[in-house]
Amino acid sequence: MSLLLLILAYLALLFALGLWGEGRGRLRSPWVYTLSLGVYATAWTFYGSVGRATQDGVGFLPIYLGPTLGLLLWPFWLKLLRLAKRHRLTSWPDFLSARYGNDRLLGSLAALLLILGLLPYLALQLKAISQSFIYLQGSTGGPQPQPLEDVALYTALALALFTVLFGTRRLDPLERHPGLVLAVAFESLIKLLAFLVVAVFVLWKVFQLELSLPWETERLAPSLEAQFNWSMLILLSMLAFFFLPRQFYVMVVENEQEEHLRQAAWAFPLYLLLINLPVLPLSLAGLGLLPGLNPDLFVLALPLHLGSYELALLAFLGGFSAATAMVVVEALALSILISNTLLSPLVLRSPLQDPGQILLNLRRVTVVVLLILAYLYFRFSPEASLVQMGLVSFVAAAQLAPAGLLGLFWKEAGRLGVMLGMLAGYALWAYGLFLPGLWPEVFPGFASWFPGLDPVAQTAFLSLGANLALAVLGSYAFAKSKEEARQAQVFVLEQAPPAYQADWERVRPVLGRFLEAGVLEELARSPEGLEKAEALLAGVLGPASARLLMASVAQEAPRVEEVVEAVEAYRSLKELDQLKDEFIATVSHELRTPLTAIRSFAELLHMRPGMPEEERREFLRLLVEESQRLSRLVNRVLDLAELQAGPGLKREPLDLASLAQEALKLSAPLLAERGLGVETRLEPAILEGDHDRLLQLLLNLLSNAARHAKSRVWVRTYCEGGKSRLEVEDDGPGVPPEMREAIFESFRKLGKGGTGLGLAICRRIAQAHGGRLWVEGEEGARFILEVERGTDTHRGG
Amino acid sequence: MARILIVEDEASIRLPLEYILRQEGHQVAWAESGEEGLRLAERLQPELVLLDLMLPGLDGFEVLQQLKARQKPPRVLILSARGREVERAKGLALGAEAYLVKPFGLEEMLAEVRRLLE
Repeated sequence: MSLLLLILAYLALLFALGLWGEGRGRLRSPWVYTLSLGVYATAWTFYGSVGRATQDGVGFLPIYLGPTLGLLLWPFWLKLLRLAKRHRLTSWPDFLSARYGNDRLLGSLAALLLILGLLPYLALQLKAISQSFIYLQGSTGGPQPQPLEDVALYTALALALFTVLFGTRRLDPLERHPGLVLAVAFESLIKLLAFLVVAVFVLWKVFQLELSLPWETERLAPSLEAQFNWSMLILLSMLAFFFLPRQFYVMVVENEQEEHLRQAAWAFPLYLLLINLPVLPLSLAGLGLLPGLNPDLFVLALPLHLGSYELALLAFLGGFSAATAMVVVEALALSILISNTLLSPLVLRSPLQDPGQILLNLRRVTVVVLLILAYLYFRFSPEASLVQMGLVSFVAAAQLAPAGLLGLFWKEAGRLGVMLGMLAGYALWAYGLFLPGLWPEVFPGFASWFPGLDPVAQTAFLSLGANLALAVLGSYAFAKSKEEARQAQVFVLEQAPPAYQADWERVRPVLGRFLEAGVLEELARSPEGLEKAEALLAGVLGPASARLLMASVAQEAPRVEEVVEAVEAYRSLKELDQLKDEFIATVSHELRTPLTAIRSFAELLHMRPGMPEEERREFLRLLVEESQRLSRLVNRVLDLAELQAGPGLKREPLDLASLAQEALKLSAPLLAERGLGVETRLEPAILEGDHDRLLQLLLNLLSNAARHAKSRVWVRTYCEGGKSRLEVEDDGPGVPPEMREAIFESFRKLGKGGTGLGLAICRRIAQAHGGRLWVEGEEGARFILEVERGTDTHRGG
Repeated sequence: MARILIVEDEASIRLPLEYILRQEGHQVAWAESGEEGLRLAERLQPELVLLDLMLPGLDGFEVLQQLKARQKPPRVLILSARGREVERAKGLALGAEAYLVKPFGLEEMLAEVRRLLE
């Protein structure tokens, strides 16, 4: 009973930790990241390695050398991280379908085969938990232990429930679960500590009681066959570390910064080293003290045998944490995989309401089904050792390696080739390992081919060899589609993909609502028309809305994230209509205000001819001021409309320094009126552009500065890194960081006065010149214009 | 002779209104924001409020609702730059007595004020 309570308490703690960690981005330290990679070490490590060491000595080690070597392969991981982030990949099958020409079939195939391949691995965890639970119950005189099969079923259901609660609470387009990662990192810590403490205790007892151990060192000497097994196992575990869904999940999907990977590259091998230290001592102690016992149980049995029930409980907890972490993350990763590659296209095509909720529910069902399948696998193959079961899955996961690695580094790799390779690899795997594991009498595997060799190493060698060979030959033999060739460029050479591939006929009516027909035609002819259209739209609608609009009309294959996005985009399209209406409403509001004032003043003067002279003059002054405000506003709205109509800029060689001088001369009265001092540092800064437009920009910036400065305005022009720059700075109150983008939107005024369009126009002019305009500064505001430096033709400099 | 409160953030619109209403013999106070308007309405108990809808801070409709929720609600004349039917209907539904769309004439405004104060 106390054991069950312990399990429940531990799960509750884990759950609380996960809830607490959800939404706490700050906890994403490189240490949490490194520890979360520890999900690699499962119940297999905790119980199975000791068992394995009793037979092969150091034969358990390759499983950990593989990842250690794998992490040395820097470029691989960095490249993968970058690609995954850019293309929003959540798993290897995602990667494969994107890399090989957005081919859904390949992704689905890889997903299905992976699921099949990982069943033994999940079953292993169920077996380890149940086995240790029963052993501990039975050996401490608890209630009559139930049959292994039943306990395993309860375990499977409990873990499924836990995973559903933990990992499928909401649909996150990035598939990030910070709480889950924190919990996994915590479990990595628990299993390591439990393992080390148990080992120290056992060694201490052994020396204290002067027990003798069978130091059979000849077990450690490898034969020729063993050397082959070793190399194959190192390669295999390296590939498994790369290609297991849960490793991709914790390492790539949950990666926050590349820096974290840099630290994990040395810290994670250290973790593996530490967690392997206890293996040999424990297995030797087990062989000496508990001959005849299932060696997979040594970690539990040794503390009990040496008189400490508490430490046996700790050991159980360690093994339990190792197993739960693996099951939760693997089941979650697999359910994401299934919903992304198999379910979301179906849900998308159906006319169902709220596809997001449906997908979430489907994921939950998937988790439960997966664990029941794992349980069934366990029922039908009860004989294998923990390590044997795990290795079957390793070989399966490694079958993605040829397609994945070739896809990353070889441009010629083609879809049909890798698909054939994968099918062949999985067929050999099924024949050599999977089926023999279930029905050994019917399927002998390859054991009789090379009797001295480990069946795992043998099958791995044959299946991976065939897989790779077919992938390479197939890539040469079959022609590739255009789409494939393009994706190969994007993935292998890491070229930025064209931002949009859209059918102009589909886009035209949407863009037509915002851009003029002539401009639209010009854009349609240009190779980067859609990017240019976005830039133009960004000026009208703000960058975010423009992006959404373009995304909604661009053609892309939908995935789960895009379901969520498509819903949002649809909403934003409706919002866009509102936005346009709002712009018109705002303009009309802005026009009505001065117009009302003018009309009122004029009527007032008309209605009250006998008004005192002083009041009359004041009202007349205000009337003139309001008319000026109105004409300024009208001019700016027209300006904006003209700029919006697109090109038509002159391109003449200009110098920002002389433009600045001209603008300063024109603004001198305004600046003098406010008693502002001006400091200049004008170095030549050449560009090609439209004189009048740029002068307008400068005048705008200067009048802006004059309105806000306390006592001083600075104007600077210079060149920096191939760009020409102009700065206008004032010593006024400055722009708070959260307003620094907003002030460039139409009718977003920071203070009083001004039309609310000046800066919007300035930015538009800068963009029309292919340049940028932004504001910075800690005290006061510093507006910076940056444009491509022109070639100096008129001065010969 | 009535107490009138103008809630309008644009001085250039407020000024002539204030002038002409004073000339008509009313006591006139003004506020530049919705919050200030509600505070002044509390203190001065105006009979009539001239209310702009586009205000900084508290929205004009919100102010209208709170004014009308008082024990002795003042009559409200909305001055709006948004001439849309929906807005007018909403304003009247929320209890405003009259609605003027900018740019309005002073005579027009005075006529409405006289009607409302009868």
